[in-house]
Amino acid sequence: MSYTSITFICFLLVTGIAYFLVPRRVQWGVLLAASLGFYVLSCGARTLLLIAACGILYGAGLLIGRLADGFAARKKELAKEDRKALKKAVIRQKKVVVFCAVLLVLLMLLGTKYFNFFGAIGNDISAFFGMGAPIPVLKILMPLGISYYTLMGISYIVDVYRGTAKPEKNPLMLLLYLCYFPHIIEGPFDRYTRLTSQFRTPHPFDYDRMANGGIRLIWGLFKKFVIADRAGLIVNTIFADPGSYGGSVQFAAILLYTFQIYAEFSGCMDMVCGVSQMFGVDIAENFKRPFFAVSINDFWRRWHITLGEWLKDYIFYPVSLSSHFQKLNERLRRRIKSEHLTTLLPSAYALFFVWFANGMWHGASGKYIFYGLYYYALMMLGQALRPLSAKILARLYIPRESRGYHAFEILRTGLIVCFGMMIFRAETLQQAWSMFQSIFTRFEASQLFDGTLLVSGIHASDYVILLAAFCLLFVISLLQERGVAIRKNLARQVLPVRWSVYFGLLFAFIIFGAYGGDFTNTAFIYGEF
Amino acid sequence: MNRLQSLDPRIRKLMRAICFCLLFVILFVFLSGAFIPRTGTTEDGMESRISKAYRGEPRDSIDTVFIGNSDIYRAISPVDLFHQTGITSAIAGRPNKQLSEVPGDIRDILRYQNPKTIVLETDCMFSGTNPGFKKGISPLEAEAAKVDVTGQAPSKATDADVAGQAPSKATNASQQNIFDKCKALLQEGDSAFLAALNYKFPLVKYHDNWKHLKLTTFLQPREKYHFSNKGMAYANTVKAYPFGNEYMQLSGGKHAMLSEEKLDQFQKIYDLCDRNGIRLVLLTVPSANTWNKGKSDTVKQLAKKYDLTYYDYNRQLPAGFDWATDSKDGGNHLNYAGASAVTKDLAKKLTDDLTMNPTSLTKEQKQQWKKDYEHFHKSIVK
Repeated sequence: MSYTSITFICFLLVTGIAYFLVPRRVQWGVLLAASLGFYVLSCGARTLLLIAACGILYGAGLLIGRLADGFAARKKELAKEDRKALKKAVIRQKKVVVFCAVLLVLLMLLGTKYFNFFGAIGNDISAFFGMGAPIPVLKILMPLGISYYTLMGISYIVDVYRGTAKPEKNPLMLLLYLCYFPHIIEGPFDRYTRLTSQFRTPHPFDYDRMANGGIRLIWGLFKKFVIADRAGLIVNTIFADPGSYGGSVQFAAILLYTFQIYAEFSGCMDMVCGVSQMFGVDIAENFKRPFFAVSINDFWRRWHITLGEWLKDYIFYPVSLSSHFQKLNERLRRRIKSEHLTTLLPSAYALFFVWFANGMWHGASGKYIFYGLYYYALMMLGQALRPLSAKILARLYIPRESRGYHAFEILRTGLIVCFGMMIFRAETLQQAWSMFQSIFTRFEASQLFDGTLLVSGIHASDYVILLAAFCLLFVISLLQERGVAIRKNLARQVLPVRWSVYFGLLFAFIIFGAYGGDFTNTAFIYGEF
Repeated sequence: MNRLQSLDPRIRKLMRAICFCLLFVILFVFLSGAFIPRTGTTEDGMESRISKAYRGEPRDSIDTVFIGNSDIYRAISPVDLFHQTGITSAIAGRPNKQLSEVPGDIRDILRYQNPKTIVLETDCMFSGTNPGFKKGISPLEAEAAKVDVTGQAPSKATDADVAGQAPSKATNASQQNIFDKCKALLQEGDSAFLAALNYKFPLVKYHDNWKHLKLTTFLQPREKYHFSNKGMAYANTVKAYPFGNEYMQLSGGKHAMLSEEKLDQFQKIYDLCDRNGIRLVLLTVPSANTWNKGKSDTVKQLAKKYDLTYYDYNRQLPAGFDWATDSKDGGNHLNYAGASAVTKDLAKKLTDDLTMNPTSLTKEQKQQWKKDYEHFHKSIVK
């Protein structure tokens, strides 16, 4: 079931009516039933994998809780030395439980999403030693949202291990956390405690909340259908055969893809946040105007925020705090005198795992790993060259705080992101490289104006719509960046103004949306991950 | 105003929500009228490829209605038929039309028109049993090699897919599990809802028409469809069928037989026409990928049993018809050249064999038909 189908609207209506009619303490039960229904209808028998993952995490959570309780009960009776020894033993046992649980849920992910990828690597190695290709290529249908619920499940069990979350006693609540229908397709990665505390809270019907959620839902639909799907039509045609176009058109396609993926992914987040808000559940924000970022670091703090936070909490910190890393750090400090290097090298070590995982999470392909490492390399380069850039700026008397420099930083980051998106979208790394070369070797600017861009039935008027929609998106983002709460401000306006905006947006989506007829309905890009 | 303010805030909010929805519906309906194409487009006469062109014609002004699947709306051009004979006609066809739907179609037709003749394209009698043939293999070789003699012809499915109906997509029902069945059901529900919405208020269907809107469109929104193609789907692509009339040597085996159920459905159609004084004519248009001698014989026997006129253009191709140039997709459907040949021949048959006389139309109606004919031909020259 797609978020953009009539069935989904009916499904929302039925769920909403049931949600506000049942006794408030069992409202979460309605959400669970709806989420399970949504999941089962979307991927049928593969729901068993979700249930199995939930079972593993539930059992592991209880076991960790029992170990922690056992230690708490016994520690008072023990002498200090014994207490220390017991604590160590309990931590070791908890680690084993977490390790096993994480390994099992990761195996499910590997077995579905990454089987063929690792199979191909295995076959290459085996072929190298002259043993043929023993691993078959399987046609595996990926269960809906497995990348999302696996990582959310890992965050739950690690939080329980760390003691920041209590082990869930109700397996159904854990199941709801994993498969909550607004976030199962494209995330965000919500944290267990934050989300389940909201599930447990009663939510009476709130008109303003509904209206607020509704307007966000429509804004998301506008972004998806008017911007993303229209841009996607052009992008798909040019990326299908980039060699037939000049560098200028290829660059335009890269720019359009960057906006497409932003409009689509952030649009989907607006939809799911809007829908969830209607039920009284605020899910985590995943975007914070990423194209106002002044550096790659800043960009990733604004783009797919919850993935970045997940990687930070469950990969970066564990690596940075590991004894192995601490020893390495100490050794570096003893041997290298430069303070810049002693901070750079350890972070380079820890961040490598983060960016490798980031690439791997996006897809089972070398292209995605390269995509992750592209950002890693640029980030490290930026850090390594920071003293040099500071010197150059000082020599040129350019203050970092000046507006001009700020604009330059935004543009520079935007350009780097665009090339990152080129790698992300291209079929292969070779294609990305040849597109990159074309931009510098055969730009052919005339193609931008001679009708070459009018591909796949796209008219000049479609570009006008795209431009107008971009402008609207930019103005709204700019206002938000300056701290204006758009929806709150809108809610304060008189009814005719408010309704004009609502109807304008609603009919803009219906009329200018790129769906039906010559347009092809496209699935959410991040839904494939 | 004060009274409104003194109302319970919850009731006020409820009233506001109702007003919002009402205003939305009013705007939607108004814009739907404005967005309906004024003139013929490639989609003329097609309601999500479900043609109901007779509804847009003045009441009781249609002489003949052609009913069938995609074969019929690719093979007959009502405006050309009118131009040649003065007979007014329209097409009620949709991809993968089932015989069981035809009585419903006839009842719907009778609500708007009072046709003298209904021409039933016979391929819909065999829907679901059409053999699919591998590209580049002659039908005789394929039958000898027993290549895919069940299921839908691939290109037929393409026409259905475009329509979003796609019963062929549902593949073999027995192979589906319960989840697939539920999914298919939901998809069908989605399509049915959209089709119903598009029929009454086609803003969603024609939303992309904003590119051609003028201010006058909003001032005089049209109330109903008027299709200058009268339900015909124009195609000018050519994909030759290279095996001539070989397919008419095939027996078709059990797939060329009509089940009891189909015979009952046909009986209903016959009775309905008979009760309403409509002459029922059976017609098979050239279709090399789906037709064969076996089917032709079956329909011939049926026509004999009910004493009906039956024209099979596969036995005797229309004058000037050539499989090398007149098919749009390698023998499954006809392109406009093929449709012209069939229409021309049929025009002769309707007037000479069946001695049909055109309904007397008003001067304005005649003018409109002429305009539609000219418009159609102008648009295809483009």
